[in-house]
Amino acid sequence: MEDNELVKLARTGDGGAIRTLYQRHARRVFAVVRRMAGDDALAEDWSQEAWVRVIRALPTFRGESQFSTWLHRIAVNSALHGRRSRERKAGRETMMDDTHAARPTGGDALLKLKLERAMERLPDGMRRVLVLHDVEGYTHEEIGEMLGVNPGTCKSQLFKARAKMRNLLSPAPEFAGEVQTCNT
Amino acid sequence: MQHLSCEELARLVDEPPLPHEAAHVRDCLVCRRELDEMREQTAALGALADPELPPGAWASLEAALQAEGLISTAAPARAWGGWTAGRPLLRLAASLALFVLGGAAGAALWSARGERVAVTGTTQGDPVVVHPAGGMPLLASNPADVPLTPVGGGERQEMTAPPRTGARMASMGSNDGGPRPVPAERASVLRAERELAEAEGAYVAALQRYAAIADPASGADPVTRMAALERMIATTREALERTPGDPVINGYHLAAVRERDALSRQLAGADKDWF
Repeated sequence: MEDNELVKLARTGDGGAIRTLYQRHARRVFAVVRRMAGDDALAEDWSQEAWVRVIRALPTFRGESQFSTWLHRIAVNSALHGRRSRERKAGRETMMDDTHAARPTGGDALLKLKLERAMERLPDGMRRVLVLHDVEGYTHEEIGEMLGVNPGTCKSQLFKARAKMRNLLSPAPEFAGEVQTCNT
Repeated sequence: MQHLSCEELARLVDEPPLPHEAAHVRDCLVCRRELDEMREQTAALGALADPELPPGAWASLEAALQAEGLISTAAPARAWGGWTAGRPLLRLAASLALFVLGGAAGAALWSARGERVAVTGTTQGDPVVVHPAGGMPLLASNPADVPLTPVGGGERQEMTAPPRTGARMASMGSNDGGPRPVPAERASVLRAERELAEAEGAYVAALQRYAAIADPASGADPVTRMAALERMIATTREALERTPGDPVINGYHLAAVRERDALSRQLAGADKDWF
């Protein structure tokens, strides 16, 4: 059954339809919220909050955009809202203590784990943009719209985030003394 | 030789190099390798698998939905129609107006704030119960009848009410026949109500005007429709700054943005035809 048909049933409170929609999209929603939160417990709360908001608002969803687009945007905005509401954690930006940093040349589980860990260590602003652009595939214009910044600012944050990730994942480059550092 | 910086290399992952950057990357093995690795890093991020859902996530959500009465196979379907049927932009305006009127109410009544209270039972048709700090709860049959002012932002259902003198409030459990109006405060409440009504009228009229103009069926020229859509987008964006996670506003914002983009494409196509 298509999402739009499930949405019609879910609007009536149909538990089966709601569950099917959840099973279909929950992992994607959790993924983006988890990466933006950088924390399992927060991600669980924000993800659930996003779903409750979505189900609550189903009667207003008229199918003028894809359900998944609408849902995803609400999840992202819930995470942004949650992030703004939350007290900032001290000491988030700490270097990885793992000296055996992998180079991102393969698709192995260890590399993926290191990427996830490195993302968690990015400053909040950089992480948001990196997750939305490089992981989730939003455009700079879309991200700018969501974050309330212009696309140029978004690009600047993205390039800093990529550079920071590179520093977190790689041993010191051979030419470290010659290049500008990107630890901002 | 001065190598390219990390951020310059990060930019070259998905943007074309400037001439001097292209020349440098062509000649410099170190920067070329670094750029390749930056590209691989970016590709690896895009290929990351979604993490597993935490155990019990559905059960927890189901409980939350049940607590709000949102999940029930017996719930009747809601029908949409009436004057907005088949006119999504007008539905947009009408629904958005309802959402924002709460904010307008707060703004208009700001000057009448007094005791801090908590509010419950705000769904349509439910009585609104107001709990003044340290006092007896008050009741109004219609949420719109309660002159309340939000305290702070967000979704907290905590509001500040003017002193308990409004004639529309009835004291629950009281046998004294209801509250006794105090003339000066009563006048203040009435003035605030008038301001609220004026603000509501102006807001709804503006939204409906924009929506009517933006509607493809309006017959307005594309440039005028575009201007109306831009105004609607600006309005929803402002609302999203205050409530970024609100699904209703997000849905309508997306609809208005999509309509604008479609119109932009249409105009761009028309431009091409002219030449």
